[in-house]
Amino acid sequence: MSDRSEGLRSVLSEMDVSMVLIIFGLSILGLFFIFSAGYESDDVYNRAMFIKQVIWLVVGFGVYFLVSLIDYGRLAEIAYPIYALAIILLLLVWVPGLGKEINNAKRWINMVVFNLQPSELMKPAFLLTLSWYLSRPGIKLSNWSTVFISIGILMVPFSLILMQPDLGTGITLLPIFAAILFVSRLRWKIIGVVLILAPLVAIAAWYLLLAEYQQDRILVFINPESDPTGKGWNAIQSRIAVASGGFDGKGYLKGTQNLLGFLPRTVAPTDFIFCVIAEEMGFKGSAVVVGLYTFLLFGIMRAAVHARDQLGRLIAIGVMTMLFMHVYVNIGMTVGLMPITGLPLPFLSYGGSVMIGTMVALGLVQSIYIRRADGRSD
Amino acid sequence: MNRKNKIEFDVEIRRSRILFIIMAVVFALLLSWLWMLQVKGYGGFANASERHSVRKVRIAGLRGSIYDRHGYVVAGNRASHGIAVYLHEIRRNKTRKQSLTDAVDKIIDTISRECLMERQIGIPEIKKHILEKKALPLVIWEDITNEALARYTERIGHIPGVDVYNQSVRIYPHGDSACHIVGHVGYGGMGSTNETSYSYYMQDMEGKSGLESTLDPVLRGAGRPEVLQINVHGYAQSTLKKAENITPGLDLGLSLNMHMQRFSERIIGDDPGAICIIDPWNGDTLALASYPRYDLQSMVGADFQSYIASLNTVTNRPWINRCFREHYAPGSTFKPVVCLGALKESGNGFNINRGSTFYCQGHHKIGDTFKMHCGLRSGHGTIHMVQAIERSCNVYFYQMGLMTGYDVFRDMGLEFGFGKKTGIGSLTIDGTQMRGLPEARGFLPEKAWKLNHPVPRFRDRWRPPDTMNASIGQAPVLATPLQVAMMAGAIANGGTLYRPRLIRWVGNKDNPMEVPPEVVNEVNVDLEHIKTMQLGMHEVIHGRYGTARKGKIDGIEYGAKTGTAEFGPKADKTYRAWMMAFVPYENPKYAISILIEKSEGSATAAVPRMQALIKGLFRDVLPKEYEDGEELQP
Repeated sequence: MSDRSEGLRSVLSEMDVSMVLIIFGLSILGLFFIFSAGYESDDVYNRAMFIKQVIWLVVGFGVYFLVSLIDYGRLAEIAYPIYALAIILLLLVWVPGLGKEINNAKRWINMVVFNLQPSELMKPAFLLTLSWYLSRPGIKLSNWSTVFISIGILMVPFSLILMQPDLGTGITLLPIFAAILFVSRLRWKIIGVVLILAPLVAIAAWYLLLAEYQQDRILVFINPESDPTGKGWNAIQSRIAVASGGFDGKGYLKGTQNLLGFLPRTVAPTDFIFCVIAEEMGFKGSAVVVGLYTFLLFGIMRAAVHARDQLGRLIAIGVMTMLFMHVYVNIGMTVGLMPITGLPLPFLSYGGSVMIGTMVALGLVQSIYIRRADGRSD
Repeated sequence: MNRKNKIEFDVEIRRSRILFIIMAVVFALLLSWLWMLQVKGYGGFANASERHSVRKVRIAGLRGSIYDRHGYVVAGNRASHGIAVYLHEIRRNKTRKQSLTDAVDKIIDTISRECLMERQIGIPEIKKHILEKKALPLVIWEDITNEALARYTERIGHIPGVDVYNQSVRIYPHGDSACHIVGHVGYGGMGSTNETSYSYYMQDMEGKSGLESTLDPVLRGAGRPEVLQINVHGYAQSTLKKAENITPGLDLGLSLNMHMQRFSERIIGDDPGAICIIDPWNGDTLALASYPRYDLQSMVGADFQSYIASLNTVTNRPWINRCFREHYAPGSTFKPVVCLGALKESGNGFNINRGSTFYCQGHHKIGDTFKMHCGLRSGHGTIHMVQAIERSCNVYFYQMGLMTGYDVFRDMGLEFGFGKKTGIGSLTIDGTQMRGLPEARGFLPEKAWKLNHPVPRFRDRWRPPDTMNASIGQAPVLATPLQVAMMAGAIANGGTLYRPRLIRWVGNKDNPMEVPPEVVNEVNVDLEHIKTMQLGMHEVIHGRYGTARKGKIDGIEYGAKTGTAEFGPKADKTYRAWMMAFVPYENPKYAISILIEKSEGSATAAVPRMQALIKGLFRDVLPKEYEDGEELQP
């Protein structure tokens, strides 16, 4: 890269355009249905969501291209400071005046014009740091020290997020961690031990780590009808919304569950945006959404396969797992396959922090693909 | 890239692919789950959204009207204006702090102040409505005057969520006339039970008494469903399906002639009693007058409850229709039945013909101690049957009754419809039998009845004095004035007993479905015997000793029979005054019965009334055009 503009042009020519298009497509779809979710609302805030999301989308794509252009290797070099910064942000939610409490959860930092959700930024920071650490020369997973340090990198943000409490986001860190370790050639022996120990850890976590409302959520997930107007309301209404969509859907801006407020307006544009799509566009809409995400995962996997080094591969796998978890947990909870957790659907759900976090993560993937092993820029 | 690195890279790439494949499979499973849920309807959630967001509201159909025989409205509808608030709009426009109840209350206050209307509903009603049917508009004023409506449009104009609505309300232009027959409506239920699929229903008129009640399913139109979509809070969001296919109720055409009806009611005056006028040739009930009455219009007014309360203090039971809801001892009007029984069964152990005589010495003795008197204590001497009818000689009937036995004239009484309901007001539409108006049955028991007499000390076998009492229409015989009128009609027409035809047509006034006259019974007796009765009844008016000779009318020849029945303690000296008649004597047009509950006797209470009534029917009291046979367009 002798010439800057020459370099930029060659970088752009190496981009995975299909991935950009999928992200763009999902985001536009999201805009449409955020509009629908706020359509009948009397609340000014709900109506303003659409505009805000447009702004976030513009900012998000800016971040995306910015991150794509930067060599991920350079970025990874400052992984530890980034990690530290993210941890500090996670701690800031506890600072009175800065932290903002919504529904008894301290997940947000009041940034005057918007509320920042540091846990969404923590995810890319975490996977970047873990990948950086594991791809250092001389770091071998056959050493127990490596395993323990990796666990340490996981546990600090994991516990902080659980304390907020934010079960959904916290839980997604685990598969990211597991996937990165798996691709880092973790031995099958250790995998076996973990698979045996995991249920025991889960049981311990149930009693030691989970707050009562988190336990409730899981219990309600198992039997939503046990409390149809209270804790089970969202679970039942979202399932009704999805099911009533049928094959063709009720039509855009015609979803009764959404428009009549059975799907609570506070969550319809955020965590339950998939319900709105599934109700109004039916199975066709669901299939398009799931299909687009699958293509996106495929694109990330391709970036991982063609990555020039282990660092790139691990980052890509981390991002792939993060995206997968978000999509699976979110859609799974709306159709009754997963408990209700406050996990947004990337690109579709309303929300700035998740938009920025995801854009950063996918920007990293683009950066990896651009600088792939068999690419020209290598 | 060295070899070791290459192997490590291969492992990483393979594992990356494995991860992707796992994720793709999970997504495929997710998609198949979505297929089950959305397309296959697995879990039964598919229709739940419709079930809980859609409400079916019943909009009342237009109630059918009731007309008299000349097409005058007896019960009809008029448009009424009211003011209603639409809660979902109020809710959208109110300030956040204000409760919905307060917002509505404030609106009512404003309208009340500006339009000078007194409030019709208060906070509790508003709360109740919001609690129970907030998807429906709340009616804050019903049936406002035109002045109030004008003030409303002028001063209030448009408040969002408040609107004027139209409704039909029942009117009874004839007030209390024929009130027991027509009946009244109230507001309430949904009518037929197969309409329970509605979530809500708008207030609908519901028949509460008379034909309005018994023929409610006919008069009431089919309810029309309107499908509302409600939001999560239960407020109306939109109307998915407007009520359409209006099915108004059917109209009824009565055989009543409201002019005759009112005239008859005037004739009864202020004495509890009844007048029935029927057409002997088809059973049409031209007038069914009863006193006391109640005002139908007041029953559908805003203050109907206090009106009902005021009526309930009246001791003479204004709710009871004396024409057929109550029965009385028919007294001497029953005597033709005794004669006809004897004439018919003559030869079966006794011989009676129109010339048969009995001797009346003023009383009749059984043994040495038991004695029953005649109306004329000095006695009628030796008289034959026509004279016995003319003079209403009790002793003649005692002796003839004892000779024939009770069963002979009981059978004849049954042929004339005594002891059973006439079925007035019943109707068969499309194979469905509608019940008739509530009726008293009358009473003409078997002899064995006395063994089970309701009063224990009267329990005994049937004895000759019982036959004697029955032969002059005294206890235990009971009949309604309508039954007596039907008998008069059957005597007048030569022996055909018709069912009283109260309803002449059903359906649309312009395209009515006629209800044909119905013969209940052809009385099984020779015409010649009936002619004997006609002659006897002729003599009651026109004979020298006729009991109703004071009821003669110049230029009109008619037949009649009076009756004075004892009831209650003898010391009261009050009697049921009866009179039945058919008029004119040749080709009778009307059969009439009159009953006055409490009187000194038929001579003073019934005969003058019959005279005035018939004069009215034939002289210029009634407008000429209302004489029967001339159908008029209203």
